Amino acid sequence: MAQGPNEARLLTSLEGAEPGEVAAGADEWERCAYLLRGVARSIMTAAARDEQIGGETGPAMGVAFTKTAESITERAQELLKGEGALRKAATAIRQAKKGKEKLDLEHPAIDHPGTYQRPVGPLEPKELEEQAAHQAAITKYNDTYAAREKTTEYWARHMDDTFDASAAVMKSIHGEPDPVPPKDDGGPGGDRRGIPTTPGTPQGPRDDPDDPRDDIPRDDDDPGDDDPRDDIPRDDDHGDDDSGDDRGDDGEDSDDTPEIYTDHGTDGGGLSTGTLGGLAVGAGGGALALRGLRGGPVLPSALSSTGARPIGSTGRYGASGALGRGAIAPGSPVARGGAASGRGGAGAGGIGTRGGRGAAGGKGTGRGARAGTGGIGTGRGRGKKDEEEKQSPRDLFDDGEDWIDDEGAAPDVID
Amino acid sequence: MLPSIGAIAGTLKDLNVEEQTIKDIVDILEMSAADLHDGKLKGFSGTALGGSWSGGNLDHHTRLAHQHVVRAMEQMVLGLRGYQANVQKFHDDIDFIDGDSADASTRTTGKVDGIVPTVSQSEACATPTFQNDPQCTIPGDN
Repeated sequence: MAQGPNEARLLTSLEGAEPGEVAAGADEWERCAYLLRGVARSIMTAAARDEQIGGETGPAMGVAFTKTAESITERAQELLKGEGALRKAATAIRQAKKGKEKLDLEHPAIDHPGTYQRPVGPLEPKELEEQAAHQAAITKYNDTYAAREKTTEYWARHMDDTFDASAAVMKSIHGEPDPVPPKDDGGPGGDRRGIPTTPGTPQGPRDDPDDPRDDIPRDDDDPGDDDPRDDIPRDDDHGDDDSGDDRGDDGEDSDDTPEIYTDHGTDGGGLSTGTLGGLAVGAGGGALALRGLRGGPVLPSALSSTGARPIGSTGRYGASGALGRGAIAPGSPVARGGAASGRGGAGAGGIGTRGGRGAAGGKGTGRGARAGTGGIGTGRGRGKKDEEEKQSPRDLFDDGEDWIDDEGAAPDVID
Repeated sequence: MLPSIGAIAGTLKDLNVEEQTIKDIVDILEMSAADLHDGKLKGFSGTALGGSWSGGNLDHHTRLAHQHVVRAMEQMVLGLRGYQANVQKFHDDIDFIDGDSADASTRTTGKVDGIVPTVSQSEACATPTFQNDPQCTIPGDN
């Protein structure tokens, strides 16, 4: 079954997540809190004996010991706050894992039923039954997809919200300011959480002119198609002419080239060769973005580009610092990586989604199909370098800039 | 005029109590410092928080907080050991066999007043916050 963006996001959130280990971390904070409390009580006991010492030293020690005990008690309270933050994080992970397991039981992922192709010849009653059965299968697939997206979105958000709250607690404990983020160059990136968690499935606000999803044909107005994305709200108001007219042919034109559908159902949403080629870009782009989310391995490039140094950083901890807000900020290599992933994903989404359209039947080869073909032809996503090096006619409609540049050269695309 | 036998006995009793008190306090400080030293906060694998941005962010701040806590606890150990040294010095400075003086408080005051400033110095170590990293110095540590 095609993995929706929210499901991909949740899977990324749960990747390597070990609630038991986080809970053990919480236990450790709790242990230290009680240790400090015990020490504070002991010191108070010592402070209470100041009068037995006498002189100036006795009272001075008594005051100092009392102050120390109070201070240590306050620190113990802070440790308990940290313990609570980690406990909540562990619980959120555990809940999300259980929620995912429950989802898999209640709405198990199913294969896309594929495209119904009516045999040539007069319509037989049996064919009507087959069509109805196929449509029912499509409906079930879409319902399952929607249910999985809704549930996974909830758990992914729950984890994020909980983690954010816990991070705020930890931040209040260490008191260090956030690293200064690198200056936003206006490039793609937006919400850091919007960086695709899976190549080809961009997430986040769609208010970016370079949003690769804008290249993905989507026909909200066609109730007859089976595009599950029609249920997902989007915001295309960035003036890119993505008004529906440029989303491909309508299938009614006799010149329309029938789409070629591959095995959509079993390959995770219609990944074709071109898609895989596009995904291969993910190795350089999408994967980089993924690793950027993780925070660790991309540290050198992120740092070298942003110049930001994490505070007190070593290893992964430092990496997170660098990447905390800045390293995957717009304009950084990581962000570019994410964008590259999105590019790759444009091909992927185009082909996969056209698979959905195919289920509706009769959608001709549109812009998306061309984009997909472009993916096949290049076997890669489209980094800027590619755009400069390869300006074949097939690329003309691949992104917004080319669209504008070559508008006049592609009259057949505009209805 | 020599002090009475009763006065001498009372002074000796006070001295014993005082000495025991000091020993108790030293023991408390020593044990507390050892507990803090041995009970350092341990961290956990950052990957346990998953692969999301928020997970990485939480891991980052948790590790920062962990470092601050560990440092603060080390400071506390220093502070308690500073107290311990002060009290020990106070104990050593007391002239327990000052038979010429009938007043124990007079006997001790002059010497132990010198301890008070170093108590304050130890206090700076013993009362760290997690947010700041005070670089305290225990007298005699240099």
